[in-house]
Amino acid sequence: MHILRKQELCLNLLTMPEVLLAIFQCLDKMALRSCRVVSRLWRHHSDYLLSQDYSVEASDITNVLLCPEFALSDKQQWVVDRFKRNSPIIRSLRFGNSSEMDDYTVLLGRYSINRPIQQMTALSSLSIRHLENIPNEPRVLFSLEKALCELIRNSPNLKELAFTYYPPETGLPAVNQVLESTGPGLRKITIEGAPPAGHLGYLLKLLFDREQKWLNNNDSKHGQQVSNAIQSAASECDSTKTVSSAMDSEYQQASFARIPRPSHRLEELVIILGQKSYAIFNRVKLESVQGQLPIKSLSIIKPRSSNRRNGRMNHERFEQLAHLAQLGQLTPPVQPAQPAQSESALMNTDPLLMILQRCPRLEEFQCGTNFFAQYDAQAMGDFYKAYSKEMLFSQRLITPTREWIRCLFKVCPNLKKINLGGSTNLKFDHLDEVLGAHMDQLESIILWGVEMTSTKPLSTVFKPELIHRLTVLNISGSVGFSDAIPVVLKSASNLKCLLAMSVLVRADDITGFDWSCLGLEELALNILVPLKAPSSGGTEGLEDPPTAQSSDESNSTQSQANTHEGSLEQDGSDANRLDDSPDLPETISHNVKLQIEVCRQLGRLTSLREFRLEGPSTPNPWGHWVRENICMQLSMETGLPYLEPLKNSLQILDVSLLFNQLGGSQEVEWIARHWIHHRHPELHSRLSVNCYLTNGLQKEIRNLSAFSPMPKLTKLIGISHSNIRNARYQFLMNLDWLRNVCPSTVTILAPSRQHMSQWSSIQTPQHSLIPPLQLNPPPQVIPPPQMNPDQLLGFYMYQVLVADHPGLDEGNL
Amino acid sequence: MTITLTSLDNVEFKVDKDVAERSILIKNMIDDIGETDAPIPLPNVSSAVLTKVIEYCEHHRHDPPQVQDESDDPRKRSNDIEEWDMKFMQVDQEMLFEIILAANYLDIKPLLDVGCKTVANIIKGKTPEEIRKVFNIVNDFTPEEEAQIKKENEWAEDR
Repeated sequence: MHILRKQELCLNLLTMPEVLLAIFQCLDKMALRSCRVVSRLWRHHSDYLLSQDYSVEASDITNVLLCPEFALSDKQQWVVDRFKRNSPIIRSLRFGNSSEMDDYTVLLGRYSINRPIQQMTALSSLSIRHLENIPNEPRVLFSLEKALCELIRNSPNLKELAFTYYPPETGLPAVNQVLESTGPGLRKITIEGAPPAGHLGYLLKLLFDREQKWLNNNDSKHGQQVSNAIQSAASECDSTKTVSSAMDSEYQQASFARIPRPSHRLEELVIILGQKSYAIFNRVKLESVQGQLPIKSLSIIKPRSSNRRNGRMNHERFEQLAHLAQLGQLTPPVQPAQPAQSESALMNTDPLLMILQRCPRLEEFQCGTNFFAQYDAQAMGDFYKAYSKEMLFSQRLITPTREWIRCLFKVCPNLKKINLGGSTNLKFDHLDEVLGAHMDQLESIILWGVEMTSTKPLSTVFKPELIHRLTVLNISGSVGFSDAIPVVLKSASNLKCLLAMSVLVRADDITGFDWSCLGLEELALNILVPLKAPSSGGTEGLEDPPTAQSSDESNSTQSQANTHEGSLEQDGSDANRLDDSPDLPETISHNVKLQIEVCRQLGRLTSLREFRLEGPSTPNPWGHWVRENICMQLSMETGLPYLEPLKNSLQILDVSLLFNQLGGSQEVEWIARHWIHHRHPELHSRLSVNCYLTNGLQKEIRNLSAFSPMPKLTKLIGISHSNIRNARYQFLMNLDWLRNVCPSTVTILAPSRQHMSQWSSIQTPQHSLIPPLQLNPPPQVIPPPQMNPDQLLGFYMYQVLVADHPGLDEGNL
Repeated sequence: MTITLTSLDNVEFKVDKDVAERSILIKNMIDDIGETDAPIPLPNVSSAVLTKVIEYCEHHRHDPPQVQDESDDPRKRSNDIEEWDMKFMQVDQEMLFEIILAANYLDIKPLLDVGCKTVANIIKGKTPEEIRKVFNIVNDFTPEEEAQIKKENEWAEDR
């Protein structure tokens, strides 16, 4: 009976189109593809959603848009049929990607006329990129351009367009043709590529012209509407009155006010410059440009070179950046002294300001280097080289002197978001008073990598009464900005994102008050914990050169502190006990009290989604020598249980650059119990394992989908980089345990034979020095989870290859 | 003001008006017929399910009205379910389906969303065969059709 009822319910519910669609809307593509195999009905609905977001590889674009005179393969035919069938419902369409092109040379020339392009009424986002690999066959390319333009013309609801800039001589779809095909509904244009010298001005002129054209059209339509409204109002008025007298009436004015102004306007322009572009603006071209762009957001981004390995810019690079800044190596190359230009002269000569003057409605301005693009920074030397080179490029792009920034706010008075990150010749001296004068209007400030040469404290800029609007502050790598952190934590109540990687801030500077930014969703901090209470204020310990002794002392003291703190109980229930007693026991050392207080504040951030905590080692790889301080830890003793309230929001916890990471089994167990849930499907895609390779690089492994269903992870590994022997034991044992329980989560990348033999020898049972069960308990049955399955979506596990520690061998063990 | 709701099995529930009006169906009925003491019949909802629905509405009685998402992307996330809602949805599958059907009938969109997200979470990570088993769905494809669809899925993998 029960089974019959269940079957009936399934039948009722899962055949209702609106319910089925509502369910499917919550699924990702992978799950939708599984659904389309379930039944015919499910296939119908999942196909509908899958077809809305559509990508055509570069190798298929000619087949889709042109009629080939040769037989297509099954797959190609399927791509073409699917595109034809789904054209009216496609919302997002991407043409081309970075995949390798098939060898089409022999087939080129065997395309006849364009396929008829259907109306694509649902299309709102179109991307045409990376077509440069299409072999150069003029007839095909000409047809392709025509087809793409027709497609754009047939997409009346297109709102976002992204395309690569191809100079006319390439034969690829020309920018002017593409832009001329767009309608008035376009809100965002992204142009990437490498416009050669002069072309950027040409490009901007095209944009100005396009906007002027639609503005004129709209005005003319608007004028017609006004005229109609007047006629209509007149007819509604006393028939004895003439039209002209009716025009004077209030009624007329009210009618006029009811007519909507044209609302379709370009709002956002993104220009991504090419790797080799020097971003030379053609001033003459700009001077000839008439009119204004109504955009609210302008981004001119220059990515770093991408054809190198080792992934994206990450926080380690910020550490390098901070180190270089400390060493004074970020000083731009000596430039011939130039007399300060007056503001009016600057506005008439600086190409970027000339553009900005034509964008008076701008609310968001981003200009600089996209540090998250890929580039090579394996060694300090390379890094500095790349950096110096970048500076030269950036100087062509923007010269943000104080006068320049003053002009910026003058020509764009509505500016709310400013991103000058990576403009390496940007100095705090350029920003202080100007930024201070406009702080109360700014909602987002992104100023990473700013060179701090001023001795003026930042509190003069980040005044509590002026930062109430601030929602985003990114000062990563701007080492001199540390005194801004306490101010914003204390006073920026609307703050959602605070990123301050590699900006050392002392724990006692951010404690002793309640943080007001309880809505924080993203936080990155590098917290230093003084071992002793300061006798007077100051930031001692940050400036002195390294000594091996200080490092050992620090480690030793830290270990002692850990031992002391054993008096605290080590389960999650401690949190309440500690909450109830604001004054921590005298037996707890100063640094532990501070860390607990920081954790208390962190535990109040119940909206936090991403939390990155870093802390320097002593010494750390980049030479920040820190005396009489230790880095923040996340241990049971130092307040980890206070983070329990984050369980509902936290998705990513990154402690990879925390000196001690999460080395203890209790911490790992606590995390697993409170934050990880194996049933969370997202964990499949988000969980990642980072391995440190023998050459010092780290590599992230994301392909963890091998096992299903995912086991509950009762332990996760966080292992210290340090040379503490116990930590190594623990790491090896935990890794061993994890390998047995969840083999798929453990991957060792490219280990040499020697490393493997070391690894094998460590695992051998006769290795009596490894305590077999004390540190490697069998998997425990964890009580039914009390936590939200949507808790920690991703947890970065960092594993260190045995061979990464030169001192680690059997003898040491 | 109190509203009386009568379930399929003739059980009467007295609820505050603002709680009852979380249901757009009931809200419209009240607007149409005006304030009355007469019970509102809900012939498609059993008392067990109505109890759960009222529990949900009471918990969310002060929630602001749901704003229509203006973005073009119809996709939703299934991992943003609030903790209370998550616990609320920890029921057997039969009850889960009953709640979704009731939410659909009573037009309580937030409850329908939470229910659909819960079902979506059940689906995620499962193979087609596992999905069929969980929801008692009959495979109505011929083997050839199924093979073709699987092949298409492989073709579509990178798209």
